[in-house]
Amino acid sequence: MAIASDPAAMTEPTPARAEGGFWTRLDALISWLGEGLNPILVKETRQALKSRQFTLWFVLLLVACWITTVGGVALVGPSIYYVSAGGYLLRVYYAVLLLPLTVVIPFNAFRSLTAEQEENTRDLLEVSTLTPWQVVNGKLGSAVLQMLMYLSALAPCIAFTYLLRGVDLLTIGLLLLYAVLASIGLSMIGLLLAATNKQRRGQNFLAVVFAGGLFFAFSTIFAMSMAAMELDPGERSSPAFFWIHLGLLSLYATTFGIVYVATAGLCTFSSANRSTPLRVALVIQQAVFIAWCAGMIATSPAVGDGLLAIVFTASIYWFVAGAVLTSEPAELSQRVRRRLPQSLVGRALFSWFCPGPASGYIFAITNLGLVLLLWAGSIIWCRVTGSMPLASALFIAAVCWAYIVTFLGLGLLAITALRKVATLTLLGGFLVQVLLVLAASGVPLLVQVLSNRVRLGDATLYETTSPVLTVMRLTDGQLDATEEYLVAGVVFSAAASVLLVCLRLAGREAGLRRVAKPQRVIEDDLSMAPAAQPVPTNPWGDLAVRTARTEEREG
Amino acid sequence: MNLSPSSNGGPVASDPAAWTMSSRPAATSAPPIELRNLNRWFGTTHAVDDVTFTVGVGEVFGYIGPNGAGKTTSMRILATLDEPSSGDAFVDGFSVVEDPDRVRSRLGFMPDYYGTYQNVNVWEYLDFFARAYGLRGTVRKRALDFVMDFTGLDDLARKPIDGLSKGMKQRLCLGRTMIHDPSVMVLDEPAAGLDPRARIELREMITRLAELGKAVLISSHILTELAEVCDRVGIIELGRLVAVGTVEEISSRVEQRIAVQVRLLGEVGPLVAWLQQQPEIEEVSAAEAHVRFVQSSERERSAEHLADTLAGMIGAGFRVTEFSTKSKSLEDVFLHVTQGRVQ
Repeated sequence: MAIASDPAAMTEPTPARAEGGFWTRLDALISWLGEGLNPILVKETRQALKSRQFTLWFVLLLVACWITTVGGVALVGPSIYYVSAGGYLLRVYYAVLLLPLTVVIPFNAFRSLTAEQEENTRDLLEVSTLTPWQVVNGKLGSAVLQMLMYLSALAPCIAFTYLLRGVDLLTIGLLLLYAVLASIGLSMIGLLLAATNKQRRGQNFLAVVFAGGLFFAFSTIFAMSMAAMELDPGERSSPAFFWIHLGLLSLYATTFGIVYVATAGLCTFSSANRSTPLRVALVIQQAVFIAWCAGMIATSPAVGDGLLAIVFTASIYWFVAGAVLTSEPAELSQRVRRRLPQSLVGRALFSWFCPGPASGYIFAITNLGLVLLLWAGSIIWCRVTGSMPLASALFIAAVCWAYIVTFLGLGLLAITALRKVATLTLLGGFLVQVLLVLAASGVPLLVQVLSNRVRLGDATLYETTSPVLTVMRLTDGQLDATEEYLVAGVVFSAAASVLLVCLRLAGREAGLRRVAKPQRVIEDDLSMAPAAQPVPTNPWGDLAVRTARTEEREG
Repeated sequence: MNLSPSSNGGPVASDPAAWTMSSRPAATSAPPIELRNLNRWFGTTHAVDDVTFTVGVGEVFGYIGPNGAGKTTSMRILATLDEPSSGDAFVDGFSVVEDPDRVRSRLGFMPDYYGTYQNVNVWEYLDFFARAYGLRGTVRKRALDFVMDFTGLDDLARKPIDGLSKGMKQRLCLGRTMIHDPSVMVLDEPAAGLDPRARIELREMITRLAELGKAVLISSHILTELAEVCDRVGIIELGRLVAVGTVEEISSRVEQRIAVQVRLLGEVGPLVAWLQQQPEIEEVSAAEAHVRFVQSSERERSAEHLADTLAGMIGAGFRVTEFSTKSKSLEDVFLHVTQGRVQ
C-alpha cells in the first residue's frame, strides 16, 4: 500500500525520545504501543466498553460473585477458621465464570462477524487493506480481552478460595486453563461459522444452533471440570495424567490451527491462495498424530488391539479433508499461478500443496498412504499387533486406503463432470463426496431388501461397495480366504482404475506453469522497494586500487 | 505519506496541497479506471454486458442508468467486492481480480448504504478506517484532521454516529472513502436522500476531489446533479453501455431534431413565411420579436444544415440579431438513449 509502506512516513517518535514528566512519557509509551494494535481490536474494545450488554454481564458477574462470597461465608459461619471450604466455593465461582467464558464471549465473537454483514460494514472491511488474518486476529483478540476482564474481576474470589483451603494451586490453575482454552476455541469456532454464511437467514439458523451448542459445551466442560476436581491428588501428578493432557493439548492446538486457517481462508478474496495454508495445517496435525501413535506403539504393548483404531481415524480424517480439497475450484487464478513451483523437484514435491481439486486428491491419498506406511512399519518393527495376525492388520489397512482412493477419486470425477453443466460450490462438492459414500454404503442394503435370493446367498460381492460393512466384516474375521480374495480383487482394481483416471487430471494441474507478474505489478514492487544504498567496497577509493595495480604491472 | 506538510512544517487541513499524492509512485500510462469487456451473469440474468470504458486522472465520470441496469454491479466489481464472469477491470493498471490488495489501497468505495457501527462516534469511526488502511501516528492524525475539515465534521467529532442526520452520515461516508487518499473514488448514489443544500455541498466536494487529481466514478439518479459535476457520462441500460462521452457529444450523436430560436430586427411575419417554404423545417412559430422552429437533419450533418439555414436567412435579407439552438439536457439525452426496459 502506498501510504502505509512509505517508510519515511511511518517513522514515529519512540517513547525513549519523548520528553517531559513521568505521565507524559507514560502517555507517549501507551500511544506508541497503541499504534501497533490491531485496528479491529481497538474498534471492538471501544464499542464493548460503551455497550450495555458488556456492562450488564460484567455487573451480573460481580453481583453473583459477591452473593456467593457473602452467602458462602455466612453458611460456613465461625467454622470457616478450621473447615476446608475453598473447594465448594470454587465450584460456584467456576460456574459463574464459565458461563460468560464459554457462552457469552464465543457468541459475541460469532455475532461480531455476522453483525458486520447486518450493518453493511463487511464490504467496507473487505475493501480496506486489512488482511483476513488481521480481521480474524482482531475479532479473536477482542474475545481474549473480554475474557481477561472477566478473569480479572473474578481473580480476588479465586484467591479467596485458596485462602479458605481445600483446593490446591494446581487444580485452580488447571481449571482456569481449561476455561480459557475452551473460551478461545469456542470463539474461533464461532468465527468460522460466521464466516461460512453471508446470508441472513443462514446466519440466524447458525446462531440458534451455535447458541445451543455453547450451552451444551458449558454444561459438559463444567461437568468434566468438577470430575477433575474429584480426582485424587496422586492421580493428577501421575505420568498418565500428564501424557493424556499433553495429547489433548496437542489435539487442541493443531485443530485450532486448522479452524483458524479455514476462517481466514473464508474471509479471503477468491483469487487468492486459500488452500496452501490449510494443507500445511493439515500436514502439521498429521505429523503430531503420527508422533503420538509412534510413541504409543513404541512404549505401550497394551495398545495392540487398538492399532486398527489408528487406521480408521486416519482414513476418516483424510476422507473428510480430501472431500473438502477435491471440491476446490478447478481454475487457478493468475495470482496463484504467479507462485507455482518452477523446478522439476519443486513441482514434484510442492504442486500438491497448491490449490486445485486433483492436487487435493493426490494430497489426501498420499498423506493417508504415508500414515499407513509408517503405521505398518511401526507395528512390524515393534512386533505389536495384539490378537490379530500381522497380515490381516496390514490387509485391512490396505483395503481402507483403497476405499479412500476409490471414493475420493469417484467424487472428484463426479464434481468435475457436474461443474461442466452447473455451478458447484465448495459445500456442494463436499456434499457430493459424502452422498457418494452414503449411496455406495446403501447399495448392499437395497439389494438385500429387493432380492430374496441375494439375501439367502453369498452377498460379499454386493457388500464391497460399502466400505463400513466390508471393513467391519474383515475386522471381525467373518470372511473366509476366498471372500477376502474377492474383496481384494474388487477394491484394489477399482482403486487402481480410479487412480489412473485421476492421475491424468492431477498431471494436468501439476503441469501448469508459473506465469510472469504483470508489468504494472513489477513496476509497483520496484517503486515500493527502498532504493539500494551504494555499498563502499574499497575504503581507499578506486584510484588507490588502480594505482597499486598499475604499479604491480609496471613493477 | 501522501500528506505534504505546509510551509511551516505543520499540516494545513484545508489546504488541498496537504492532501496531494506527492509521494505516490510515479504515474503510469494506465488510466486510473478501466473496465475492459466486463461481463457479469447472475444465473440467466446478464447484469453487466460487455462494458468497456476508461476514466482519466482528475476526471469525474457519471454512470447513469435506470434501476437494475448494472451500475452497482459494475461498481462492486471495480471495488473488488464481486468478480466478473468474464473480462476485467483495472485500477491504476492493476486487475481487480488478480491484484485486489493493490487495488484496495488505491481505491475509495462509497456504497449506496452507510455501513456504520453502533456505540462509535464520528472520530472513532474515521480513526478505525484510517488504521484499517494502515495509517499510523501523526500521518493518521493529519489524515483525520484533513478529512474532518474537508467534510465539515469538525464540530461533530465526538457525536455518536447513530445521532447524525442523513446528510451528515453521507459526509462521514465520503470522509471514510477518502481517508487513505485514494487515487480513484467510486461513489454509488452519493446524493441519494440529501436536501438541496447538502447536494450542492457534496457537488462542491466532488469537484474539489477531481481538482486534487482523483478519478471519480459516480452514479446517481439525479441527472441534473451529474450534468453539472461530470466531465463525461456513461449511460447503461440492461447491462449494456449504450452511450459514453460528454453530454454535448452524446447529444450531438442522438440529435435529429434541433430546436432553434431566431431574433431579428423588424417584422417576424416574412421570416415565418420564408421558413415555412424551406425543406426540413417544421413547427414554425412566432412571438413578438423572435421566431422558433425545429430543423430536422441527419446526425452527421446537423451543424452544416443549421449554417445553411442561417446563411439563407441573411441572404434573403433578414437582419438576424440572434440565432441559437436549445441544447439537450442530460435528462433529455438519457430519455432519448434509454428505452426504460428492465431485466
